[in-house]
Amino acid sequence: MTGEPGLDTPSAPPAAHSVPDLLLTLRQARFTGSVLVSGTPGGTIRLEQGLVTAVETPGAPAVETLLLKSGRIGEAQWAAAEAAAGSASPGGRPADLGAVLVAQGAIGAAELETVCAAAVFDGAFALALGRPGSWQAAEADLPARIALRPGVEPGRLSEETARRVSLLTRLGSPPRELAAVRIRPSAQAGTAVARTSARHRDILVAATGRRTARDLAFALGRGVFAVMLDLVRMDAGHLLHREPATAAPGVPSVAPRTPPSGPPPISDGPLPRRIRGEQPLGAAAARTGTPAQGALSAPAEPTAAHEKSEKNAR
Amino acid sequence: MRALERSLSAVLDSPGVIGAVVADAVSGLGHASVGEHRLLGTAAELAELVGLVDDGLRAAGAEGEVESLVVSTSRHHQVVQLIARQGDPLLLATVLDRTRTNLALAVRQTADQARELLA
Repeated sequence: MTGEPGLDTPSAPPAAHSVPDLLLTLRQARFTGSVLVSGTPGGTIRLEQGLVTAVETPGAPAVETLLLKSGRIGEAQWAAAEAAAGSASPGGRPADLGAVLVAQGAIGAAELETVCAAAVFDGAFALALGRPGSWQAAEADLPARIALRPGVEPGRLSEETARRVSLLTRLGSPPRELAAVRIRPSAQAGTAVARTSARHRDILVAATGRRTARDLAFALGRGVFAVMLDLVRMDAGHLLHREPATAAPGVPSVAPRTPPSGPPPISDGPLPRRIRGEQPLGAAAARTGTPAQGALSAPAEPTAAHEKSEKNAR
Repeated sequence: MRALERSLSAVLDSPGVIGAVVADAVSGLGHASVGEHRLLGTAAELAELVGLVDDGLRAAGAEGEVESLVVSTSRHHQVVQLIARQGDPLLLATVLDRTRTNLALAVRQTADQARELLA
């Protein structure tokens, strides 16, 4: 996309008051491209013919994480599929990675669909928990590497997201509050562990006291919402202890780190000396894309269609 | 039509089956439904039911994992079969016409279909 002013293009949506409104409008326009949502955690919503095929956000595990961390697909299988998809790239466009995985027998088409769909809905849930920023719709130059096709109706995505927020709230754990606590096993967990399910035992093992629900989801290769539901059920059985995370309530643990106020600590040692040929620390961090900042940095300058400040995304 | 919908449509060809649902057994996300699936309730309700039964059994001291739930009414059998896999389990729920099948067949048939659904 060359960055034409969005409202002048045929596929550009009219102004919308929220991301769900925008998605409904884009569905009517049968828009193919992306909606970039800034904020915390922010993310990218991929659309094909107005249907949501993928939601990529640092607030929830992507399909790759779900498949690899759960052990459903091995690293070697994934790497082989990536290589095959990269080499079979007519016109420079990588082949559909999901189709390659299925063709190589790494996973069945039906099961892959369930994982892709789960990632779409979980990504939307994570976006709904974050602080809204702004959004922009743009015709993407490349589709998602792995996606649900055909995608999900935006209306259904909104309904399911609302159901998830409502369910957790009804169970006594509003998800924005639950997202802001770190989890560790309670003192009673040791004696009760024999009666818990394998899924809950996995959570107990992974709950180090430094992980939030989102962190546990990434570590276990599960959805954030599913982990939250399990946490609520385990809480009812007095298996868990919650500790407030350092971030303010409502801010997922993926929030960019802010430098501490006040002057930096003074070191007694000599000043570090730069050696010729070495990269400065800042340059190295920028190149490697540290998750604390790079993954959540604001999207690039608008390349197309539509941009609007959002004060109340949901 | 997606691959999962094709697989689920084949379930409707089995004796007595008049509706079926595939859902995530933890999150309650509905993946596909065919026939008179409304007789089974929503996917979210099915997942909630599985969770309630699981919690109740564990509170009563049961061990192991829930595999299936069966509800019979005067007209239908409803069978919920968990599909274990790497990652969160799915569930296949079927509703069967009692005049066209019996309970033993319904349970066995649904378990077989669950195994084949993701193959």
